[in-house]
Amino acid sequence: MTKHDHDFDERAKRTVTKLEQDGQKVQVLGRIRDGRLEIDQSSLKELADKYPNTNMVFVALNSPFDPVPCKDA
Amino acid sequence: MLTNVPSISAASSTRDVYVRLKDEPMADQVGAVARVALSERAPADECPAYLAAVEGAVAAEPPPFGMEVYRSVYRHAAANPTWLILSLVRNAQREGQGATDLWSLAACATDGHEQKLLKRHAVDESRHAKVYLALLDLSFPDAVDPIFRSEMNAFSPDYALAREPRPVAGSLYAKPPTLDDFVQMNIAEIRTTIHHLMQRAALETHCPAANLPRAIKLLNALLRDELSHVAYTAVLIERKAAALGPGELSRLYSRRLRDFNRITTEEMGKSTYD
Repeated sequence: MTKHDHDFDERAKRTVTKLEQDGQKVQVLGRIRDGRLEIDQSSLKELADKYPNTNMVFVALNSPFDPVPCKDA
Repeated sequence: MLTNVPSISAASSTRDVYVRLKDEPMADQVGAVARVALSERAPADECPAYLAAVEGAVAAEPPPFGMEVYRSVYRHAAANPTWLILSLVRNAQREGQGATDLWSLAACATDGHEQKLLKRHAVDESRHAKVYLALLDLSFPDAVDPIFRSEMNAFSPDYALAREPRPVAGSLYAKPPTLDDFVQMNIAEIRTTIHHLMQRAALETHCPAANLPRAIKLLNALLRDELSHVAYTAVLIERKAAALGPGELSRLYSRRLRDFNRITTEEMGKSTYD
């Protein structure tokens, strides 16, 4: 385990512990409108400057990503 | 080198496969996913042309999702429960969207065998949309507003093997599938498998102990499906590449890996890899 991994584990444990101690629930609010996912701004605000955008990053992709045929194909 | 990545016998459990893959160095993980996926088929497929193309492409175009920094960024973000919740929701939505692309490809496939495989794949991804939501429920009980959560059930198009595939209106994939399509799907599924390995570690940290066994069961099923998708596209690539000239498959795979690397890097923000 690298130092970063250790730091991550410690941070995650502290986060969960604090949530439990505070009796807090993470509340995520939003809606689906016209088939689009809309998360309320307060849920996004704290994440915007600190973390990668969940709309774009680390998402599953299982179909072709370019419908235009490759000229090498 | 792919040839140095040990194979796992077809009899290995999904848990064994997970442990083996997650312990691979990130630099070897793309090749390891390809090789393990093929070794898990019964009987195992070797697909030498495909594996050589993957190996050459990874060496020529090192993928961001095979770098340690990629895993580090994920670990940092996933330590935040709200981020991980939103990521699970987005993954559920993307799995549902991807299912409609595959359904359209299946509908237009002229080869009966390819149609059957694509249809199965679409049904799997349709189910995965629900699996991600189940993981959300198990890992973060009551974290999402109930009305919002119930609306998410519409992410899955609810495809079933008993249904006849029809092209989805407006889909760019309402066309017969090509070798290029299967190469792209293979690359994308390898990245999705790597994401799965990272998600699993994070969810095991956040999930309440009482719910963890059920979550693990779902995660095992997800990993099994992802590897199956990597493997069947690899076998189709191998078969279709038999009609190509020397080096053509390697050039195509490298070109598409380069394209996907650019997409991944743009998603992350270029500064991450500077």
